[in-house]
Amino acid sequence: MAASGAASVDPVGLESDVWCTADGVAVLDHDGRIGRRIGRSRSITQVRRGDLPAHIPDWVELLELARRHSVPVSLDIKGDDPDAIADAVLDAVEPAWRPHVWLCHPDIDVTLRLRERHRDARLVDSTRLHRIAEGPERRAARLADAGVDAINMRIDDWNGGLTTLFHRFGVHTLGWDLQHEHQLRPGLRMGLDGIFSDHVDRMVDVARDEFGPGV
Amino acid sequence: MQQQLPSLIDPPILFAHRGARAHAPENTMDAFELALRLGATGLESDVWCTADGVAVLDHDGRIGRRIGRSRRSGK
Repeated sequence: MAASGAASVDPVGLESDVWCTADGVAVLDHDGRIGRRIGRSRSITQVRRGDLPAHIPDWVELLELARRHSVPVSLDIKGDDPDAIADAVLDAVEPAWRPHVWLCHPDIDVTLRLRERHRDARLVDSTRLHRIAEGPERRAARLADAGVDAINMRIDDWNGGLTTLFHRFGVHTLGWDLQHEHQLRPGLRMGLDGIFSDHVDRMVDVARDEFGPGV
Repeated sequence: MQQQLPSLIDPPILFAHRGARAHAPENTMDAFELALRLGATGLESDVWCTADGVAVLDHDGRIGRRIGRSRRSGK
């Protein structure tokens, strides 16, 4: 299993994409799978679930794992029909658990429409600072007025002034692409409410250093 | 060094991006389970709907056939 491949690696100070071969050799690879992709690729939206590769999980599988461990899930809604996807996601979630599911979309108009359709969902405006034409203060007010729960931007876009601004409007702040300590530590100190990293070990180490071992 | 500013969620959520994708194939149950063992307090993924309306997790939403059997390096 994948976990056993990664478990041979010291989780502290780990560099990315290290796997062990069957004969114990550490190798570097992106996804740990071999086999060259050929032919035309197809969109998942055109394929029935039963015809997908087995390693692609259902949302329900992840939901069950998250519920067992009492951890929230953030999902980026992809594809051309965000309403249908949001419906499919939320239909699987009992109302009491919906606050633990954060639904993210890069189009503010879609996010606002989802707000109208799903009053009890956690919704996230996933954007970049340069895409906020009206400026961050007006965006914060707009999100607060509409009841959108959070804004998610790349770590480069964030600073303490912006987190404070959005918090003043009651909007949660999320930051993505925090891969190194020089991003993780300032990101946590500027008051982000959630951070996203590929390097879980590194992220956890820095968070425990900042907030204590109980994190 | 910057002082600690307050967050609305304390402590902040530590989301594992596509699972522990630095250490396992992204967006797989193995990656999500590993992320939790490493201490993640949140899980992140990308969601699509299949042709028959099932919500599934994948980054780019495209699948393709591979030459030979796709298998992990450790197997």
